Amino acid sequence: MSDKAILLVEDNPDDELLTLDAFAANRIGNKVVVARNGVEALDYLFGTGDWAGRDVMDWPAVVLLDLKLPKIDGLEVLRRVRADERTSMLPVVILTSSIEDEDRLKGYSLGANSYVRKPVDFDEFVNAAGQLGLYWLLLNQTPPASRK
Amino acid sequence: MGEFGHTGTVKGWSKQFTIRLLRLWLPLVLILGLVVVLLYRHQANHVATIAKVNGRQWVKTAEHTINAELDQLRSDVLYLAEHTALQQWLTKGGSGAQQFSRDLRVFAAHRGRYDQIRFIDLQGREQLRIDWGSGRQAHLAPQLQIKADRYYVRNTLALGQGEIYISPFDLNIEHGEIENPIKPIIRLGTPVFDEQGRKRGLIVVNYLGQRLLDQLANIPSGSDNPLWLVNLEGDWLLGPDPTLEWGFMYPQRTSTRFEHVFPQAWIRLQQMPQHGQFSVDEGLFIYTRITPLQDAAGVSDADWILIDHLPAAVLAQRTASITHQLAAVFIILVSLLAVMSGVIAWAGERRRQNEESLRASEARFRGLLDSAPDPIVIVDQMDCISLVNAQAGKTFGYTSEELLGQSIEILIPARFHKAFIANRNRYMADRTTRPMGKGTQLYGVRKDGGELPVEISLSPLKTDQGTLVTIIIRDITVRKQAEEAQRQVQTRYRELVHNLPVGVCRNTSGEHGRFLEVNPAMLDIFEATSSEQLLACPLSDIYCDPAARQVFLDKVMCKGYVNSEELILKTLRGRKFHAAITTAMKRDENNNIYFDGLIEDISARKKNEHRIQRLNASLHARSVELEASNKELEAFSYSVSHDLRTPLRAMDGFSRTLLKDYGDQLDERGRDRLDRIRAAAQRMAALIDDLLKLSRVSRTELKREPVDLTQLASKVMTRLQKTEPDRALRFIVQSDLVTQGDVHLLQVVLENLLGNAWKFTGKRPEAVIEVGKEASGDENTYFVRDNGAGFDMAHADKLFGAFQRLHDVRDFAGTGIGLATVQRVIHKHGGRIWSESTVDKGATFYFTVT
Repeated sequence: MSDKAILLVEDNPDDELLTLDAFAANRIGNKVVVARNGVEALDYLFGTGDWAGRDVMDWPAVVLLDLKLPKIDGLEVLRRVRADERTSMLPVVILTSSIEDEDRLKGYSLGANSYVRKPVDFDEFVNAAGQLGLYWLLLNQTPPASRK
Repeated sequence: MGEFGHTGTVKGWSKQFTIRLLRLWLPLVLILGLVVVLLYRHQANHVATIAKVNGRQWVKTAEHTINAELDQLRSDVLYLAEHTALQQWLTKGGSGAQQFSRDLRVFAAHRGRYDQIRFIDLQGREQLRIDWGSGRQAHLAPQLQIKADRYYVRNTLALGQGEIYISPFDLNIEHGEIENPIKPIIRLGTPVFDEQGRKRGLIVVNYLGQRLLDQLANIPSGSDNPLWLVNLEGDWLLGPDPTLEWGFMYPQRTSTRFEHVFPQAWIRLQQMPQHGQFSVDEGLFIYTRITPLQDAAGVSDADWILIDHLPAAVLAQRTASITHQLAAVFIILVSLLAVMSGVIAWAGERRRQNEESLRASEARFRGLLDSAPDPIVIVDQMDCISLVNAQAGKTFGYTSEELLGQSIEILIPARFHKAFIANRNRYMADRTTRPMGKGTQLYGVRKDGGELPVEISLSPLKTDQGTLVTIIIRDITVRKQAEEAQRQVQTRYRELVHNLPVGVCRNTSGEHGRFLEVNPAMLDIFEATSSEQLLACPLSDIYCDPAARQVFLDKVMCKGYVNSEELILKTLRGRKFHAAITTAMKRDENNNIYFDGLIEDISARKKNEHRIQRLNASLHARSVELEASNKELEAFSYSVSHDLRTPLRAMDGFSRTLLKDYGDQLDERGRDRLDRIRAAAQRMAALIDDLLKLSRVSRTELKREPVDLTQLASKVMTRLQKTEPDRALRFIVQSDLVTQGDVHLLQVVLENLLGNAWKFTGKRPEAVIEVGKEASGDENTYFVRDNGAGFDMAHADKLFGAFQRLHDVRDFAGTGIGLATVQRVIHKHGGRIWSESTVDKGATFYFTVT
């Protein structure tokens, strides 16, 4: 299993806790960086703000991105990530409560790698988190980082 | 007709004339020729006959002359032989001799035709000789000669008493030379017997043959020459030319005999009998043989042929005159015949030409008749049809032959017969060309009995047979139909204009502009009591604003028309109204301008337009509100989707972790309550999801396309069955259920209906679910039927309301929003949905999609 961090962009503390619980239930030991809004997420990814000086090329294994976020919403975060060539190939999984067709459509069209709806049933949530971890941390090979 | 045609006619005429002339003249000439030839033959024969008859006559005359002369000679000789003085001399001698000598001299002198008379004794001595001599005096010859060697002496002495010897006719020879001038001589002798009957000598006379020849020469003959005398050897004694005569006497003339001059005739003469006639190339010959002692005893050496010759040239000359005469007559007659034939031929040709031109004019007349577009019938005074043209037969269905001789009434329906006769009689009283039955409709009748409307015109036709009547019948069926059609069209148009609820008018313009025509709607629009009132009203009175009128007029004059131009007009009572005017400028044949137009009172419409404008404004405001509320709703849905679920997840998730991490610290009741919290949270989530679906249906725009319900239902059912693979299911779906609709929304319908069916058959040993179609009228009704729990029809009205449930949630889970969603989809498609069910007997949901 990769030792890379997981960037969880989630403004709701309950959901943050549940997600972490779900990771724990699946024995996912990777460091989970939590961004509570879009700005924080972008700061982390581009090494700005609180995260100034961070090695930008040290990608998280996956970004779990909620859509409804304060300040900068998830879709805008995704757009900026994809617009920057340093992060254009970063794996981004949208993890949200919304099942609106429009959100799905926008998410995928902006380059999301996957779209996962958070189930209300916690058992299902744990199951989903397990599968996400299994796939993105264990099976998926991140693209080679192109250092410039 | 052109110059060429004329020339052609003249040529044709002269040719025809010539043929006709020759046909008449040539046979006549031939007949005349024949007659002339026959006449010529007859005349020629006649000429020949005359020549022959004459010839025969002359030859006979000559023969008689010769015979008479010879008879005289013979009787003279016989007389001399028996002379008394001679007998005395012989008996007594002496004086008898002198007597005899005297008598003989007298005799000789009287006779004058004997050159010598001699008495010769048996020894051939001349005893007595009387010479006639040159002095034409008979004298006793002083010197007597011995003539015993002479042939005539010998021949005569051989004879008996009374017998005569006649010598050949020849020329006298004196002293051994032919006496010149020639002296033709015939010697006759007879023996002399004395009384005792002893032969004592002979008497010989030398007859001067010239006398005979002169007599013969005086007899007329066929030609200018005298008759010819030829001896049996063919020597000429009397011939055409003295130089040819007496050929046997002259050695140089031996080749001038008859046979040399007329060889053909000579041959014929040798073969011919005693006398006769014949024609050879050398001419006509009529002849007879002279045999001097034919009836008397004796010997003759003087047989001759007496010939009358008519030379061919003379004969030809005679016939030639006939030929000339006949030729002259022939030419004159031929000319006369030619003239006569010419006159007859000319008359004939003239007649033929006249007939031909008559025929041609008849043919032209017929052609004219037949080319006439109208039937033409010509009738006589008895109303009998004497001539029809082709068109008449065609129009009335008869052949021309069927019509000829029939009464004209055959073409007139029986009910018009009387009227026709009256009409005809009036016409007969005043014969001028004119149409018949003016003012009334006339009809003709066809052979098949069908009638046709006609116009009849009568005109007199003066002919040799009296005045005929030409009846020209015009079939006016088509015209009548056209008139009727025209009338109907006019009526329709009049009615159309009359019935139109908009004002239709024709008007003039300008200072004195007036309405010319108005329809009833115009009276209503302008509140006029009559069209006269409206027509009398000056147009300037109906406009409220002269300036506006001028603008309007300028526009019409400029474009030639205006279309629904709005103006404010006033009625005759002065009420103002909004009018829409459509008018087009026209010019009549005098180039005067007029206008045809429509006027509509649009006051009510104007009022409505104002109202609609107001309504539109408020509608717009509402739609803006609606849009805003829709946006809010969307935002609300979004929030619901996101924010309403998140706490539920927390409730469920933390309940779960609580149970998991602290479940051993809770008793059964506590755990149950946590389970209930979780179930409630999940149920809440399901409710939210269904509500979202329902709102999504409302918000979704309908996209119609062909939808295969059979396939869609099968797919949904398969998916449902996978949720509970252990259940027994009999799924019956009709094939080819294809309709028009939104495929996503119809899938929502089937998911709900089939989901319900699957759910409510959950307690059946075998679920039977059927999807199909019932055609009722032109509407297709689809249904989803199950054998599930069913429901009480008393609550059927609540079935499609949101959050309405008919079953206990403990028996059948559900939010009560599914059927509301289904109904919303079906309504969005313009369809209907209803259900039939009996509790425990299953349920059937019907829906239509239009």
